[in-house]
Amino acid sequence: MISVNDVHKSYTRNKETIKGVSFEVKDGMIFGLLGPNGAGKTTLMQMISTLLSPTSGSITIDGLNAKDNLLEIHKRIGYLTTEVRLDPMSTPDKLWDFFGELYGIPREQSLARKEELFGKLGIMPFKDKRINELSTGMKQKASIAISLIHNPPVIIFDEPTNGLDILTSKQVTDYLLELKNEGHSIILSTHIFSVAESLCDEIAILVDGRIVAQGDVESLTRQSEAKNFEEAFFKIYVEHHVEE
Amino acid sequence: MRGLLIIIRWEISRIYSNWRRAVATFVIPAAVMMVALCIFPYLINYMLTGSVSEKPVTIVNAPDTFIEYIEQTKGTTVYTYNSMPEEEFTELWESGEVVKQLKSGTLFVIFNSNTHSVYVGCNGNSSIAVSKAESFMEVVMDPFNDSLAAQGQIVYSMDGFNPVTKLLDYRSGANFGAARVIPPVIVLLIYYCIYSLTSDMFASERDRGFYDKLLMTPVSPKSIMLGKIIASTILVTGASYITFIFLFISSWLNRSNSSTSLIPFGLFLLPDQLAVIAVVIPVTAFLCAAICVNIIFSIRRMQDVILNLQMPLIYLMADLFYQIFSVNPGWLEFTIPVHGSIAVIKAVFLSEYKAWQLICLLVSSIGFTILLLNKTFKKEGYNR
Repeated sequence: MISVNDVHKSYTRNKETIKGVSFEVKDGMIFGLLGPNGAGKTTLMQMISTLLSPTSGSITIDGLNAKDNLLEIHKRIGYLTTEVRLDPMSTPDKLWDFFGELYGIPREQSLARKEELFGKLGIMPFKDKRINELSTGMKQKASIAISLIHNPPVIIFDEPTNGLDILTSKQVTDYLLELKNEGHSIILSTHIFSVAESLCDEIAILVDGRIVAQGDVESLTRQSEAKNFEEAFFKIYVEHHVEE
Repeated sequence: MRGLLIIIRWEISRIYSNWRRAVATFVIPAAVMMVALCIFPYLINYMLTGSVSEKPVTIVNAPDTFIEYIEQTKGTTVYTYNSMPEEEFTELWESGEVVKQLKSGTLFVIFNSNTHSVYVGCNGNSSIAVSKAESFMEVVMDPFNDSLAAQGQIVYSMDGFNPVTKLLDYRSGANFGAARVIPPVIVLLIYYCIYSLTSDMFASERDRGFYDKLLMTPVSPKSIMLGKIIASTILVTGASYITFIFLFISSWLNRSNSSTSLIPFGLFLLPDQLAVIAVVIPVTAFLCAAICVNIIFSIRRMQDVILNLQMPLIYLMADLFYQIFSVNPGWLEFTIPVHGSIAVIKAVFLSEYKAWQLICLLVSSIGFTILLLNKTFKKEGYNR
């Protein structure tokens, strides 16, 4: 379970990027963070992933905090962002072996997991090709596979389908649902309404570093008296966004 | 520790598994150094005399014995000769042509048959021309005079290179010449290699987001950073040793004894001297890596990182010029990180090396490295 309690983050003294965010994500649940660019989604995801420290507040993964249990938390988290570009001269296969060693996965177990995950994501045909010879979709699949090498109970995906064609995008979203059904807790940030609607059990709308609305798609639409979720989002956004 | 070793192995294998990267790391630095050492004398020659090529020696009023001598020794020295009688020289002198040629680097060797003396004329404002004149007197005139004195007028024998008797003579001259240039060039190359490796291992990976992916593994961030620093140190140390081997081979293949050569014939270091240099290189590489990492993690924008990483290169270029014109390093120089490495290698080449110099360097370099790494760890929150 992921627990975020009154988290604040400031990069400069006068401006807060995240202003007191709290939420919980239970096992077997997909939690969506929806918001425009600059709302603080990536900062929040990076804090949950321990890449950034909150200025105040606390984040725990299965009751563990990053300050005291950093490496233990890393064993439980798989973090993926579309911004990651793998080493261009390596191959998915070599990268897998390297990360397998870093995670301390026994060789045989690592090979079995590679077989399973590469097969599921369709990586096998290009596993020995260099990263710089792969298409965006192939690179993204390789990146997803490597992020999930240790079968983490908590998965954090920042814009998982960004820049992907519809076929690869479908493959990724199907896989996310499969992971959810296996009991993984998933947080994903997106600005694609269809992804949020089809995947997320609960959605938090982030505006200017604050969660201004939270609930499932139906309740958010109902509360905003909108015709659909997209309209609900815009209504909520206009209501809470403050021009600087 | 396990994570540290995995990172080191990965980073080194990344270089080996790609021939372009391997060539760029191991061969290009050595090749650049060789090219620089070959081009630099011409550059200095041009700056001082306005002429790129070496000018021939003009001999005036030379006796037959000397003409025969230079005929017999043709090809064993770098000199080529123009010969002219005294009358022609006088005409040239009056027309101002002699001064012109002197300024462009020509040596004039004027024989006076009445006083049995030889005058070697050169441009006194040019250190290259002066050293060329000194070298000419040493390499050509001394054996000529010796042979005349010992054997009479015509019969003499060429004093060929004898590795037993001449080795140490050549060595002292070669090492002294090399001491001005090789230490700063070696350190410059170490920094350059470290700069290119760390900008790939840290700056590019951070820019690609790959560094964050490594930080998300259950390996401590300190181990990841240290692993990469140690890998770059190992690679650059290997590359520097290869450069050094190139350097020695070049020196022993260079049979010209040209006074302007920066890798003169007979460069020679004893095992204990080589051991000192073998210690200084990795310590310097590790320090340079700590400097580069500190710069990379102080700045976020990739363009600014590259620009700031190039700043120490400017300092090292300035140090290179300082070393060309300075002689023995002062005691304080051994305590300055990076510069101290140049000073110790220079002292080794000059056979002036003392153990305290290396101790000063190790204390200051390792201390400064630890300071920089701690600062970087603290800034990145790796101490938490």
